[in-house]
Amino acid sequence: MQDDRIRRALAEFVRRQAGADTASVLEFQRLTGGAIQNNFALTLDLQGGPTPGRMELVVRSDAPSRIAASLDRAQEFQVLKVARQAGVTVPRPLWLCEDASLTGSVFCVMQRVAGSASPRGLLRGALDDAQARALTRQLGAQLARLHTVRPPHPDLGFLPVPQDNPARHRVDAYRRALARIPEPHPVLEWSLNWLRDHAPAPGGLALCHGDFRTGNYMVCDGRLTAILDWEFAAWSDPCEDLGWLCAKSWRFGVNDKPVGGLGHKADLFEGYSRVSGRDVDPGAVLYWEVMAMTRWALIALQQAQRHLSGEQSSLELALTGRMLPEMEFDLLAQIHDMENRHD
Amino acid sequence: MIDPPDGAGLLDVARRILLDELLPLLPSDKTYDARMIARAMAIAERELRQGDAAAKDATGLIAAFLRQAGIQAEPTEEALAELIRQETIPPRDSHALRQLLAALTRAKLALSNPGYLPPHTG
Repeated sequence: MQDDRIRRALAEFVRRQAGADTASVLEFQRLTGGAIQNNFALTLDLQGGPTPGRMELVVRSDAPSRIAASLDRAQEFQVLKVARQAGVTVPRPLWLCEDASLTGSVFCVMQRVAGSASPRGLLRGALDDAQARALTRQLGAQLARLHTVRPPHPDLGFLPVPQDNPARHRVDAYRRALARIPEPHPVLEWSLNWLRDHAPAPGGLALCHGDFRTGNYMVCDGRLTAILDWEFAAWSDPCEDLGWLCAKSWRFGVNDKPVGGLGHKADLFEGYSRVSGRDVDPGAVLYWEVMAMTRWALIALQQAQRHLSGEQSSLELALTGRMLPEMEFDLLAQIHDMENRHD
Repeated sequence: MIDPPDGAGLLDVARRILLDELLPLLPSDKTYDARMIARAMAIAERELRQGDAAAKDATGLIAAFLRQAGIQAEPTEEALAELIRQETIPPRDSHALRQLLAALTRAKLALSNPGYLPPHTG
């Protein structure tokens, strides 16, 4: 559907939901970075109704190339509401439209939040040391709040509850994903064996974000303004989110700061413990970092497959496939370091 | 017999023109694409120069490991991946297996991104 038709349909949808007389579009643009969704920034001027005036929104809609493992917009909208109730800083979810005839797909509308999520801006100079430390602690506190949500939850019935050890549950799923990749990957087969053999004792299931990393939280003037991209939320081991955030894959080259290139684990864990009342097991986080690196390698392989299969010819996807040796090198090095540390 | 320069030589000079002469003229929203193209050309050039030898080395490494472990299998990554998945490699060879995986990975990095290798292992 043409963007101007989508724009008109969205403005009319918001006008009706907000009970306004008119809604004029001040700004409408496609946001980049949505391989899985189409995201739009929409600014409206509402006349009449209970909330007249300027309204700054983000509209998130399903894109055709949705990854099978990810939540759809209706499910993500529910997760966002539950996270907000748990005290997590998220964009306020406003409305969900499950009628795909309006714009061509299901979409949800959220309040637009100030700030930027760009890793490069954030990690290269936007923050001073004190701000980066405070933000690192805040990320820990945010995760601890999210992890207070435990299964079963009446609004999250669509999230499957793993019946076995959540780590082994992941290993089994990744093994199946690897089997669908035509090319052999001995290092990934080996890391999956290692992950299965070293799975920590289950620490209880909690609602996990599933993609909690630098690039998925917004910062404005050094302060956290929103945690974004909830489509991979799942019931899992809370350490999975901590491990994903700390994995080398997400440091954007700032390797001396293990927490997403932003800060140090002591601050992250302190922020987490202060809210949860429990100490973080650093060994379990290291284990989940290996899981994270394995998962990221599989995602990279899947992205490369989209190019190789002819589904989407893309140099970027093709080159992602050629990053595998870097990921495998890091995996081997991390496991080596962990075992030497335990000796 | 092809006339020189060969494919690798052509990629080398073409890549230098892209980076040194064209890149500065491009609008900022196109520089990322240009750098990706340069990266792809560099990988292709290294493969043309070293790819055959690297593949032969990898086969040799896998064959030597299989011989040492007393396993009858084709010296290929396919066979190695399957052996690991099926856990047919005895525990006494796990150290050698790790060394093999590290060596194979370093060899791939030498083609895809040699700058990623720490200096002492390059």
